[in-house]
Amino acid sequence: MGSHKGSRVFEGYALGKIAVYSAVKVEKAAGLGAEKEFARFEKARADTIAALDKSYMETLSKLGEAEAALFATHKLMAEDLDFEDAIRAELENDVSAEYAVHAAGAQLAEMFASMDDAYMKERANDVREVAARIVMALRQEVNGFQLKEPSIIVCDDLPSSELMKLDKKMILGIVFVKGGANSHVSILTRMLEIPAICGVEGFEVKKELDGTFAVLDAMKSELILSPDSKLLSAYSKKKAQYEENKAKLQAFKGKPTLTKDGKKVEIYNNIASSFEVENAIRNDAEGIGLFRSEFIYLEAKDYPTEEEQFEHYKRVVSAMGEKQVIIRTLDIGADKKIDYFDLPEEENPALGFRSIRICKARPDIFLAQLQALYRASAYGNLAVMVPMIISLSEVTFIHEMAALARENLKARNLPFNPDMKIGIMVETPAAAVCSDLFAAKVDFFSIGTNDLSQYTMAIDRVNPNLSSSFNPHHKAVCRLIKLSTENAHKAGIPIGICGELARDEKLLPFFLKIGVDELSVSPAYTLSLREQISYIDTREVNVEDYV
Amino acid sequence: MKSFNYVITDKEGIHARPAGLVVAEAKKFASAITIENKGKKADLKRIFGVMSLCVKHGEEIVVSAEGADEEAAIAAVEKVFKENL
Repeated sequence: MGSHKGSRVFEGYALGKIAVYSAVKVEKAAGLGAEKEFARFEKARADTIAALDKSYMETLSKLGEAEAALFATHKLMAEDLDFEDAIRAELENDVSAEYAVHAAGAQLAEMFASMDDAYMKERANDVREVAARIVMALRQEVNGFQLKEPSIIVCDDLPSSELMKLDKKMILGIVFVKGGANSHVSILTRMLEIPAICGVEGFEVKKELDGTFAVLDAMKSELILSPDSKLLSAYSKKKAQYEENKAKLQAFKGKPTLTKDGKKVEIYNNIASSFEVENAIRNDAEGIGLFRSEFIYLEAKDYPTEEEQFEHYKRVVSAMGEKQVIIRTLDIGADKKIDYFDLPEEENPALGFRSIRICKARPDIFLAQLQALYRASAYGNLAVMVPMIISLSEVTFIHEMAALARENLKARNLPFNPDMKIGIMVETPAAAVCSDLFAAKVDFFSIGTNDLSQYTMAIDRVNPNLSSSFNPHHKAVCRLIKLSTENAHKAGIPIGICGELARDEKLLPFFLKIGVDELSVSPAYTLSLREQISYIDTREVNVEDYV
Repeated sequence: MKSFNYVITDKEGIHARPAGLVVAEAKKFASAITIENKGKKADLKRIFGVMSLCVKHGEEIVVSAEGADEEAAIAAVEKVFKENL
């Protein structure tokens, strides 16, 4: 018995035999002469195109046009004349067609990888994948990797087209030993809801693993080889229970969120990266209530350009279609430090130079972000919210910068939505107490309960010595939430809650009673929260009990 | 030689999918067809060539055709650009 840890791609459990998938390896070898090898290539290309057409149709019917389009692009690449010319040139050196295709693919991939555009850079992997498919066809392995019985696939990485080709009923789980959680194949795996993990360090994919019995625990992101009978029966129970619970929650998919007495509220999701948007869609979120834009800054080595930011925002906004996406502008400082911002050391970072305060001091950074956001607004229903607001002068600053961003984009002839909604986070007592004044100036409120609690009670929420005193159910916090909600509604603007408290069992009836319009939680809690709300009758809730 | 100028209105610029459509159309003709953007030229019958120009929204391109069926080629390709880009 041995256990190997990785990172999660999609949750769930799988129990069964391992099927090993090994990537195509190509070595330089002599061929039968340029003419004969070219004829072999042409035949293999035709077979590959036929297989790609099949993948396209299958993905189209299962997952839709957006995911299927990849295979149409692959087909055009396989047919391309530049690719063909590069293969001919390689064949002049009397190599095998396999090697010529592989080398030509590598050359074109290099061209894309060196391009100064995120979208084009990604196309490098597509070219490599197309070349690998043709090589497999040359080896007459068009249907090379097949599953004879339901199995856990173990591989270094798996081309998307291989995954789509397989009979999904045969895939119990997947272990991408060297893959990443955000690769195209991982995204497809999540859409297909296959339990999977990736990035298993120190694990070697050996052919001998084929047929070994294993347990894939994609909750703990663990692969356990040859489990003993005790462990196996424990996992059978866990799996059955997990699946039963999941099936129960599925009943809440595609339904509006209603209390027992028919009051409507919307459940949005909090996401920390543009790749997480599919989790929100899969869990049937009614919108995105908090997209933490700082991940773009945290991952970068230098200030991300407007273009880079735009790509991320656009991905989320267009994926959500007509549903609202609220993106929070830069929220760094305090516990989130970034080297290239070169922020000074502070006595008291939580009360220090952070968020809007940094934006005011460095308007160029804020302007670039606003321009990227406005550009993304042309692709769907985007709203922007600014954190850490304490005064109306900050709101004036935001509106001035937004006007400047619109002017700049107009001059550059770029499309955007001039009416993009701009809201603020209510996460300081100052903003909550003066919420009547703010409500007249902004399009919406979103309550950040973590900071609002910490600032209201003057308790550092990350100080372990104080955790027992940190009580987010404190009446002062509830009173501020109630006041902000009343002021928002008086001014006719919506209010949401995007902190941890949004799914707090004890406060949920209170939030529903005072009429909070939207609750934003992690994707995984969407359906269980919808279920929980359906049992609450707001006529039985007494607001006085909370404030 | 026949040619036309066109400003890309698609928000994404000439990305993979529409590039495929114009390439597929161009391939139907015997004439040599080129696309030019920012001083760089590519064969309109080659998807890698067209994509490598990295044409963005709002940029102007020139498509030229030379050969026996140049007139028909230009008309057909221009139609695909107008409908998809």
